[in-house]
Amino acid sequence: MRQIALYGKGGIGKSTTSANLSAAWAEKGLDLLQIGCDPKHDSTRMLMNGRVIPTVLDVIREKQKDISVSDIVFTGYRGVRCVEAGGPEPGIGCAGRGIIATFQLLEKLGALKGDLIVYDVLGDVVCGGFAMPMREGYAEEIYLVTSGELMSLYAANNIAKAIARLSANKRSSVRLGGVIGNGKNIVDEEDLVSEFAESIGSRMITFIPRSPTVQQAELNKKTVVEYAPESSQAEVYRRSADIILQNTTFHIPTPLSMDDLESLAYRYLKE
Amino acid sequence: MILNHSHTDISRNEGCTLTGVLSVTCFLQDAVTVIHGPTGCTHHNASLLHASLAENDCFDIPLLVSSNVSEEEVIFGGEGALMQAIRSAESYNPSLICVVSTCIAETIGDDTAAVCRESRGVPVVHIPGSGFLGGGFSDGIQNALMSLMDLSSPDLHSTEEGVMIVGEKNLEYEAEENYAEVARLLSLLDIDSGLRFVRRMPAGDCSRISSARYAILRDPSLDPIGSALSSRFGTEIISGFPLGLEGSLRFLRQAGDMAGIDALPAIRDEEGMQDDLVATFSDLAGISVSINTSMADPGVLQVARTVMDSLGMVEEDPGIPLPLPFDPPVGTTGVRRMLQSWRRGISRA
Ligand SMILES: Nc1ncnc2c1ncn2[C@@H]1O[C@H](COP(=O)(O)OP(=O)(O)OP(=O)(O)O)[C@@H](O)[C@H]1O
Ligand SMILES: [Mg+2]
Repeated sequence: MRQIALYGKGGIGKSTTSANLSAAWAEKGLDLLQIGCDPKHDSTRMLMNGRVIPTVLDVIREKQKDISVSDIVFTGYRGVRCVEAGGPEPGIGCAGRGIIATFQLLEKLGALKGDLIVYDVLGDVVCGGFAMPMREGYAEEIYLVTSGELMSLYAANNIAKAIARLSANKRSSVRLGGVIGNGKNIVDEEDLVSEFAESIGSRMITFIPRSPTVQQAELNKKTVVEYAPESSQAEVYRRSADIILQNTTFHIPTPLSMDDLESLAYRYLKE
Repeated sequence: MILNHSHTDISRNEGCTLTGVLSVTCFLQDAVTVIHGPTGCTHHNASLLHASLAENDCFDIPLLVSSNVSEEEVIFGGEGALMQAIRSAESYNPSLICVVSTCIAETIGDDTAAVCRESRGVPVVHIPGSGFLGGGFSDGIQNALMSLMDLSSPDLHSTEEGVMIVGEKNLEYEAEENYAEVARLLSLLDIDSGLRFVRRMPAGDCSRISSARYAILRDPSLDPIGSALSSRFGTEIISGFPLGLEGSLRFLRQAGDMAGIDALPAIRDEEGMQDDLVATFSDLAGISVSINTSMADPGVLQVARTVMDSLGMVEEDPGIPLPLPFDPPVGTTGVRRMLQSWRRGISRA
């Protein structure tokens, strides 16, 4: 069983990318579990054809006792098993603790299984709870999703810091699997993201261009892989899924200083 | 952000803020205190209060209600649980509900104050009680007094002649004796003691706080409360109970000045009483004694050494170890109690 987690700045495309990768892996016959670790609970919607599934925390709140796997794990496209952690209403409570409670329940129910578990984690690792997927026993491979925008690289660099810090713990085996470029139509974006990846001691494992097919699929409540299987964008997701599956090089990242990060972005700045 | 406190400081004043708050609110009659946090905070403090009060021969456990915050409230917010706890407190028909927030309520960001502000049939006052924000036991006492002060209307300006006693240490062994001593000294000046803010005070009397013309703080650490009283209500403040023999005389002068009374006759009387006291203990003159200064409060040491001097006791090593009180002795009778314990210590040696 492999467990991978996608981290990156808010709105950068983590959920879109994870759902399409899961769909592509499922098409190859792999047993997939995708877990949305975000109170917004919109990670698995496209895999569920638009259905908003009950979140683990909602179920915990309503049922308390006798929760079974079928209350929280829902089967979507090509048998991908979907889980949404959920969380409190915005502005109240502690979402990070919610993620911890979700993991504890999934563990207790023995629901963390399959060939591949994909964790789609909220944009900013604001507190310890959101680092949960990187802790011992969970995701060992982290992929940073970023565009060429400075703030997106900045967020990726910050998560690289968290990985570096966590991997200093001897018992932790968390490693950076690579950087996934998700395009924002910036000039020379692929080169920029690639150079960023190398300068933090990793590599850009794939680059996903910006494509209108993504929105079309979204409006049809499907992943690109399901909605437009023949499209070049679906091909990109399938190829990316293959590359990640074959990936065997993992690194402890060496995050950049803010100055280095800025001068890197500055060099690519085009008038 | 607060980053301090030594890891080994377990002295009483650095104790839990929540306990400090409760040492005040539990001494309001017909009030109920709601603790917004996990049950353990309430349970632990209830047993602590019970134990401290039993030592002072008081066996009523004060009424505490817990909002029972559990993991669910931590994740989803605990304001609903607090509202329920307040409703449960209301069912006891108190004339005041004090809501104390704990560490966990502050950590998850519950807006305890806003929940308390919602209008209800009974006044509900919010008192911050979480220690991780940097406070200790004494801060809890101050938080409680400060919040309760808000229940008083500022228009009642300075109409009461009686002197308000502020911030008595309700959990100390000699709280009543200390109060009685202050009342005795005031009576030498024909001044009455008034509200005891807060010790066995009807909750409704919080509205009268502003009417006190004069107030005596238990301890100079309560100066911020004194300043608030004087700036908000024009109260005149004496910033501590009289400590030791000289402190008692100074206190009489201060109280006389404050009330515009000639304190000289009272001071003469008290000096006479102190001379008698010293004469009663003249058997202690010339005895070699030692005191353990390492744990003692500087105020205690100062009073003890002055008394040793006036009795002609000799501090040397080795001497008979003298038992010291935890807090400096209040007034002339406080010194008498200290001397009695010294005499017992010496006769046992
Ligand atoms: N390659 C792409 N081409 C076009 N649009 C994209 C692409 N990737 C993502 N998007 C669009 O960007 C928006 C945000 O994507 P998504 O919800 O996947 O981001 P996210 O990182 O999961 O956000 P959040 O941090 O809020 O969870 C979506 O509307 C999605 O359709
Ligand atoms: Mg998302």
